[in-house]
Amino acid sequence: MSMRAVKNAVLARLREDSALKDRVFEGVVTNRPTRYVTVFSDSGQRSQERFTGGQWASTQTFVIHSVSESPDKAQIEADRVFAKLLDWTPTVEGRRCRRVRHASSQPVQYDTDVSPPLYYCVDEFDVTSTPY
Amino acid sequence: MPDFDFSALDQLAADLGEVPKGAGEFVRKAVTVAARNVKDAWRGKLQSSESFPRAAASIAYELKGGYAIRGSTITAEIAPRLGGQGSLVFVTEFGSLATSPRGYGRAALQETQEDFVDGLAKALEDAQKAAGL
Repeated sequence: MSMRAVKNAVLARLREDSALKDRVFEGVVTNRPTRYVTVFSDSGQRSQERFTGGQWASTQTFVIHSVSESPDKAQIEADRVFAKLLDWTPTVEGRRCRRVRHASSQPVQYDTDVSPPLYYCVDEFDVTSTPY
Repeated sequence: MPDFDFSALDQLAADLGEVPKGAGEFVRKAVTVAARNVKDAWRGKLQSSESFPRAAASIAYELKGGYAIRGSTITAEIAPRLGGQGSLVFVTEFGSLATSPRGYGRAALQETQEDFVDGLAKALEDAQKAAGL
């Protein structure tokens, strides 16, 4: 059972977008470019789907930052993320995934702690999967 | 022609009809307790964080809406009060360009959701008892 496989499927899906291809990262980005997308993944909230079953189902949350030099450009990056992930069903060996669900979005943020200061959108997506 | 006595059934239907009327108060209590639990769990996580321990006190909850049955709704909003370190809770929750999201609020919600479901079931049970069922 690999939550890493689900995460890698999400990263690969985002990199299918030719504009994002070389600008998709994982975690905090150092030597950051002025325009990029980065993905933070947890290990999945486990739950029991059947009364007699184990906690086999997992809902993995992906927090995605879409970063750029202006609010508008950051939203363009976020739009690309939505276009690739929303309603897409990941295919992962060993797990049956459900389609990606949008969990939440936040207003565009301005981070002045980095140089140059950059804007970023925060969007959260959930992927629920069960083993097969 | 047989003669059926439906009076007991009619009484049960009438009693069941009383349950929704009285349930709102119990549901409101259950939602209040759940909101308090989320707030306390969220505060606990922030208190143990090295970066923003004083942000814990900013987490508060507010109940909105009226009684929960028959068209009315009740909502609990649990969030930081802005100002001071409360304004930094966004960073702990969703990250910044230099820090990872920690998701304390989401975790607090997940940890307490089972108790919320139990509390809601208990609230409806209490409403039935109050209606004499």
